[in-house]
Amino acid sequence: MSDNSSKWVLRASNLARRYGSGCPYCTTLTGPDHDTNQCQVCGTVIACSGISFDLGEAETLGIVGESGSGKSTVMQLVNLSNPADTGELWYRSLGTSNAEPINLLALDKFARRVFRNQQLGIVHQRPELGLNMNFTVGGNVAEKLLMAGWRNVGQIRQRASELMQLTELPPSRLDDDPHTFSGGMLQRVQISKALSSNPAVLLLDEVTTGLDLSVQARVLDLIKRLQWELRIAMLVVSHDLGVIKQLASRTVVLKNGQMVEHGLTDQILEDPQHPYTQLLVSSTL
Amino acid sequence: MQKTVSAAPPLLEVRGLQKYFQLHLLANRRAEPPPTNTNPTGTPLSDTPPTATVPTINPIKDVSFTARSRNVLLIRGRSGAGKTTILKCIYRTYLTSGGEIWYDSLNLGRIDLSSASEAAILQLREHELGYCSQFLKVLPRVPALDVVAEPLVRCGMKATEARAEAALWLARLGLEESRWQAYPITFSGGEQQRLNLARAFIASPRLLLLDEPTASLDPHSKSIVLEMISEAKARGVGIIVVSHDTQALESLADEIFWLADS
Repeated sequence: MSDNSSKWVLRASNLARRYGSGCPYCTTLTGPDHDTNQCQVCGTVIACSGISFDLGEAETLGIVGESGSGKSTVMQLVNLSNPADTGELWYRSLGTSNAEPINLLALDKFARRVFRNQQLGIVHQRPELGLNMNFTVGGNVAEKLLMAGWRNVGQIRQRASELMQLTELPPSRLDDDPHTFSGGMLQRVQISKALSSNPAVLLLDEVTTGLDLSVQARVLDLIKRLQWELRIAMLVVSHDLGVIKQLASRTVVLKNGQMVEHGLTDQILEDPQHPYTQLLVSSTL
Repeated sequence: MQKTVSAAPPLLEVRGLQKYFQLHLLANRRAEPPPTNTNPTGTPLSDTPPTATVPTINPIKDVSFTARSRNVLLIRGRSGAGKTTILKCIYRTYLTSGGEIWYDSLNLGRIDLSSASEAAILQLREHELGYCSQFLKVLPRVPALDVVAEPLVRCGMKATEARAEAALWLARLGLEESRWQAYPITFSGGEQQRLNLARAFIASPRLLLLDEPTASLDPHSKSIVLEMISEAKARGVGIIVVSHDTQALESLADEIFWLADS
């Protein structure tokens, strides 16, 4: 689904990640056709393979699939927190003219960390994965800013306070313990932390899963508003087609670690072509 | 078939459009395939659907027409004939099974909407194509004013300016100001329809696709909508309307396209 004419920020090309030694049969005996992502010969799990997509400027791309389809692995690969075995991940800065794309997977580990801290923000399904629960809320935001190179304490507190307002959290609770926050509020703290360094790409991994409906609507509202106001590129992973429908303009469908279909979100939902996508759409409440 | 012949240049050319829907074969529940179109000797005729082995429904076969700038094209046909399907194929909500849809884009040149890239379609939807569906589907808990302003914000306009513009359209469509900050899910069918129309008109598209725009509207609202269509037409917009309300729309239509069964 690459398109040379579009202004892409992030381009994934044939990303793959496996857990195990691998054998010559791994690629031929796994995938949607075999309904498994575990090689029957050597037992290697092919978490994902052949993942290719473009993420455009100010665009939101959805990734859907059932549990075990490789959604979160793709997210980890893009977040550079899990090394891809093969493939390329290109980033192009649209702010600077004539900026050459860089292959993020070819960077050394220090450069990757700097890139992750400055240009990527991630929101996990479980707040404890994205937040240090022993720090205050402000401390969590400060942690990301410190890693992105900020050093002035006053400026950091000012930025954290602005972000709390942006994400509809009371700035007066900047120094409170995260344990005293509700699930929906913690998701918004995570979003504050992710946005703190003005990243080029925001990664949202099942952000509304486990939240009750009213809180879910509020978090979706917030993300939609951020799409409007910040015009930031987003990658949204969810098993909930309703979430994808509201947030993403294009969608990739994964099954057993491979892409089975991609297209405009309304087309995927109203005219699905692959039997698995048809099953997903027909199962929506 | 054509009421008048217009000299305006073609904005959209649909050639031999076909659309077959696959039946979703879930949990091994298989539907019976449609009867194969055969002649008396038993050999299939040439117009047998290309996916004859997969059960299909509601085929649109070989639909061709031209829409022009500054013109209103009215598509008529019985319920289920495929009128909405044509609009959705043009907007690429549906993938076509055959044929071409050539659109004369301002920014991208002449482009086949049935095979254009997803990025190109998104760009066209933002800047050139407007679509008003029969039903309003929006994010819950977003006020009506923001729902209407959204297409402008997506084009890069500041939210405050977009809301001001949205307020003008809502006022024109007769939606009470007290309801602008309410959630559309609480609105009546007619009010939701007016929001849908405001969303379609607000971004000043070059090609406007309207699906039953006057359904569920009272006579006063209907006359406002007809006025809006008329103004858009005068501005040079090409408009394709699907409607059963022929009494209201026939007077505006420059061409009428009849969609025959099958």
